[in-house]
Amino acid sequence: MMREPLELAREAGVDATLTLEESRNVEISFEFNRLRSIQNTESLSYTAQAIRGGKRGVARSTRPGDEQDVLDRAIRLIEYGAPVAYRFPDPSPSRRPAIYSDNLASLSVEKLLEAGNDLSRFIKALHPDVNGIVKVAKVIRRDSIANTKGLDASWEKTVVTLIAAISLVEGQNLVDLWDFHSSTDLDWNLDRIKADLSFKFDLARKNVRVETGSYDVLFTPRAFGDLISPVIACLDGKAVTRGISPFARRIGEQIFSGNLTIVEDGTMDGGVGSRMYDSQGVACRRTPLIEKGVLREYLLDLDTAQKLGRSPTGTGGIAAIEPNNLVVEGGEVSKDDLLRGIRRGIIIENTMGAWAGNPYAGQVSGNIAMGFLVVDGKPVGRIKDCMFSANAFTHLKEHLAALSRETKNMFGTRLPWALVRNVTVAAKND
Amino acid sequence: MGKSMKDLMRKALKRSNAEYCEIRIEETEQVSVGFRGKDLDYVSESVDAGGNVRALANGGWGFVSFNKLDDLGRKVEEACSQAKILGDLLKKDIRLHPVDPVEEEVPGAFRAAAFAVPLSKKVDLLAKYNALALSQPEITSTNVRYFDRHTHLHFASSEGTYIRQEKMDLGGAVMAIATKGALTTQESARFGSSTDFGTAVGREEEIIRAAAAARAMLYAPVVKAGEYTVILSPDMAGLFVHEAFGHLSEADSLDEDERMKELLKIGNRYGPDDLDIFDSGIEGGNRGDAKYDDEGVPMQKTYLIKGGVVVGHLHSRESAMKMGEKPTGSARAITYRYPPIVRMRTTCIATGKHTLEEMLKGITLGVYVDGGFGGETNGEMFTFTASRCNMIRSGSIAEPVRDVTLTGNVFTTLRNIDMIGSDFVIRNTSGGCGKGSQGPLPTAEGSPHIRIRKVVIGGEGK
Repeated sequence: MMREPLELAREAGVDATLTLEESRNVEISFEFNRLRSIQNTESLSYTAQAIRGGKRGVARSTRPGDEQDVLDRAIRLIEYGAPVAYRFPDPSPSRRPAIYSDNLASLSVEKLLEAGNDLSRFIKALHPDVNGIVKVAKVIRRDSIANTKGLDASWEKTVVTLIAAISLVEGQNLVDLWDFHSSTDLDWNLDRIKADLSFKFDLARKNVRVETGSYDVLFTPRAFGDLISPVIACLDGKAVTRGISPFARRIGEQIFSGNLTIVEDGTMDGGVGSRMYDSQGVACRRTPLIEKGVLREYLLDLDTAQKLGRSPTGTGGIAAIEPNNLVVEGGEVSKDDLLRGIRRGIIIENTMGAWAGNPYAGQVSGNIAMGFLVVDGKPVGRIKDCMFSANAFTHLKEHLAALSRETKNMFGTRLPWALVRNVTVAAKND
Repeated sequence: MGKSMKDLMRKALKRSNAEYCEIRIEETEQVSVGFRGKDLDYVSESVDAGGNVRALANGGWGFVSFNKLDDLGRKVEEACSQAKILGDLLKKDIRLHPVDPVEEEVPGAFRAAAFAVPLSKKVDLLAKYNALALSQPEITSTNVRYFDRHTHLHFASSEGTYIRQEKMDLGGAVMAIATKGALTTQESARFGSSTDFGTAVGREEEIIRAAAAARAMLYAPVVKAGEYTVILSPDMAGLFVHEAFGHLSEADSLDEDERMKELLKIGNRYGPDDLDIFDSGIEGGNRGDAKYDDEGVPMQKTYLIKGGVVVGHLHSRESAMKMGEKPTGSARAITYRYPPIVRMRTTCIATGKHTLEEMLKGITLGVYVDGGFGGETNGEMFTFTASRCNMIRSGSIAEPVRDVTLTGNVFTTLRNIDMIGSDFVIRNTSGGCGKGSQGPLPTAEGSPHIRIRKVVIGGEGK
């Protein structure tokens, strides 16, 4: 159905791309240890991009059957549109990643309820006053892309997400813990989630004091995501071409510790962010960005690749660069061994507000929403009322001691545990 | 269109066999313009049309959202059927606080409708702002963003309510980016409104100030970590009250949690005698203002703290019934894809009596905090990051410092407010509030300067 409007556009001398996203989503929620709601969502969205005379117009619509209208509006917007120096690409083959599971697609609402009930009952049994929040969601999605050069492709994806959260108020002490699983296949392990939450719940109810100072910190994958977020922002081709990324003109330089390798992999099997083509019609691929600390490549779309004289990396979006799966490769040591090596340090499990700030300065500061003091290799209790502060550029270059061999899938990123030295922690005095 | 939509919705609702059922149908047209550096980055238009049905049976909520608006009756049956499946498992008595059925068409009362302004004029305005920011000393790049939305919203319930509301929302930010060696700093001029495109016009002085602040931060040292007395500017105090107390007052996180309910109990003291906090959807022109919320309840002004004491909470019909209070028109959904949950509108600390000079007096070493990147709370702790800060030394605002992030226990910090200023300002920006998976929802914040003792600030080690 998308070919006809594209043919008309081509005949009118317009270079155009049309995408369609269709999805069906079921989400089951438990709150206060009880089943709360079932939500069904059916959605679709067309996006049209049109280029003529070196300018681009973009339009979107969620009205069914709106492909002709959305493309017409994109063409009309060319008059006001952004100047571009690229054309949409000729069709090129792309690997079809294994991201669709029949087992998951056919999973019944009853099975989703069963998993949610299991986690909810487990949380309720932890403490009589605990508030357990569980969400179980299944998405079946179909993406289609076509352009005036003849590209015509579509692919399907299934994603299941489980979130289990514990909230307990004791006096003015809030214990807030959560864990999750996301995958394109039916491979959840509820026992692992339970064991992890149970261990942390006991630890989180015992408060210990910590003094302001500099510490060895073991970042869990979730917290490590905050620490590397300025790195990802600075690898973005738009930040590079605008000259605000400190990584500009440094390809081939050792900018981080030899422990750090970051790969963008758009066609990774089982990758929650995997797809065949990006939103500009470029085939997705595997691209090492940082290899053993050496800067190898940026995240590039058609525009930034053209400006930098490089090849696009299959990460083009409509208004921004869109990485698919960012993978920080694990190290040699287990996370338990990393922990055992800490004499006096901190585990940062979860941060709050660390996303806010100026990524191009590399500074990452936030409240340690959930963190544990470690003494002689063992976590001894929860630290409260304190903040951490690190600089991603200097800490990941000079103070990244090691990464764990285990990694965790974090909705489009896959990250290990990271041991970082000399992290400033500010604590309340009284 | 209004009348036929009303008839369609009412006809579909006749197929409800739940205790309560509602339909929302929404169509939003959006225009977006962005510049990065010297280049126009994008100009786009979008149409987002869809709807949802929400049904309650035996304490179970069913919710179905869709883009295909045909066969609404089948969607009603589907939501009712889900609610019954859940209700049979739950067998709970959930009731909604009664409200009078309403039949009303609420046309937009816009001072200057953004959707009536030609696209070329918006692009030209943003281009002028972008060029102005780029022309400032040491500004190497920019990130300029603008959007406006025009929404027609239809709401009908099995209780007989039908409301059609026309809404507008617009926001923008002109970010000036300064770079020196490997250090990049940034600061923005921001604006937003629910009624007036005029708020986007005449921002030149603010853009020049933002550029100067970004430039100043290039030469500012990182703040030393530790505990300080801080003075928050009205912008930052607004962000603080939103994060630190607004979220706690949202009753859907209290109504079944006995411990949190106890902490937020009416009559509990959490601040000095002159601390008043309120949340309002009817101040006029602020982002999030509307006549009705997404359950068809009139929005209102709700005091949360008066004289330092808890006096109210923000409610949906369900949470109000559970807690024996009245709905406050605070049930809001970000789009038709989500059910309404309890949210803030414009959250404010009311005007106090102190001047900034009085607040500075007596501070030997402190931090003056202005301009915020954003914040977050988990119900117990809050944190936010500032973009413009100065040390306070011997009662005077002194040298700038950067990378200031503040944190604290919500209750302790409220108690540590010791002075409230007389210079109230409401802050509308292009950002918004996130809760669950619904964000950014348009909200605004207001406050005068406030002074707080013993605030932990993250930064470099001493």
